[in-house]
Amino acid sequence: MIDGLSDIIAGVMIITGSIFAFLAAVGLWRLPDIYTRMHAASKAGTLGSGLLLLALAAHVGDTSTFTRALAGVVFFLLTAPISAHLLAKASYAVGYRLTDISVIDELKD
Amino acid sequence: MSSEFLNFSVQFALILLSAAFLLTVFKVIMGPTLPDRILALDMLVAAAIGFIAVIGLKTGYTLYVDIAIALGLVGFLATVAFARFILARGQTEEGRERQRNEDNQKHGKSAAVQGVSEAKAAGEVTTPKKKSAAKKTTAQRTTKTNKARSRKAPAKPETKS
Repeated sequence: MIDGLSDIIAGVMIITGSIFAFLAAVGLWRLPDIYTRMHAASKAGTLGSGLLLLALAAHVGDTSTFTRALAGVVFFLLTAPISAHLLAKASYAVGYRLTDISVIDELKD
Repeated sequence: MSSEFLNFSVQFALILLSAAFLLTVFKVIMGPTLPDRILALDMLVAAAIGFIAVIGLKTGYTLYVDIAIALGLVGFLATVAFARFILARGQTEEGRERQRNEDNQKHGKSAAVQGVSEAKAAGEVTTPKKKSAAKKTTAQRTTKTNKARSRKAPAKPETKS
């Protein structure tokens, strides 16, 4: 029974995680400029791979694998916003423009 | 029954992750600007970590989770280094144009007006006729600002995209 429950939990997490990863890849194509694409890649992409790693941690009973998967999730959650922030700052400083339909540019002047 | 569901979800996730991986790789290839490509590389690392997790769950071969952690570290460092590279590479063509416009607005002129006055100045040089002194001073001022700008911006290789 417990085995079945962990299977179902892991399956649901895998499905949601892969859907998030796929939507991040679609958003990379559909969104209009680099700053909006960054939303898709760094939020949905991180959530997708984090959910997949958590599904692995939930399914494998092994403590060491559980700890490693959890450490991977924490590390990924820590580093993804930093890299996205750095990339956005750099590309704004160099002069990549926001899209025309964007409403506000708080870094202007 | 529950393991059937797990099998189905693993197959489903592998299909979706493959599609995401392919889309991201095409974004790396096609992406119009450099930050797009860097972002797609970052996303590629995330998709690879997801792949490793799903395959570890499917086959029970969880040794690759360590490699997933290392891959995350390398992806983070690569993105940081690429961001520094974007900064070091300097202004894009668009950014330079925008800065020029801002400078012109600071001097109380828009780019269109300056273009007109430059054309007038060129006409003045080729056909020296009697002109008003005011126009001459505006032309001189524009040439001066042009010189100042060219001195301010050193000759960097023009980078598109």
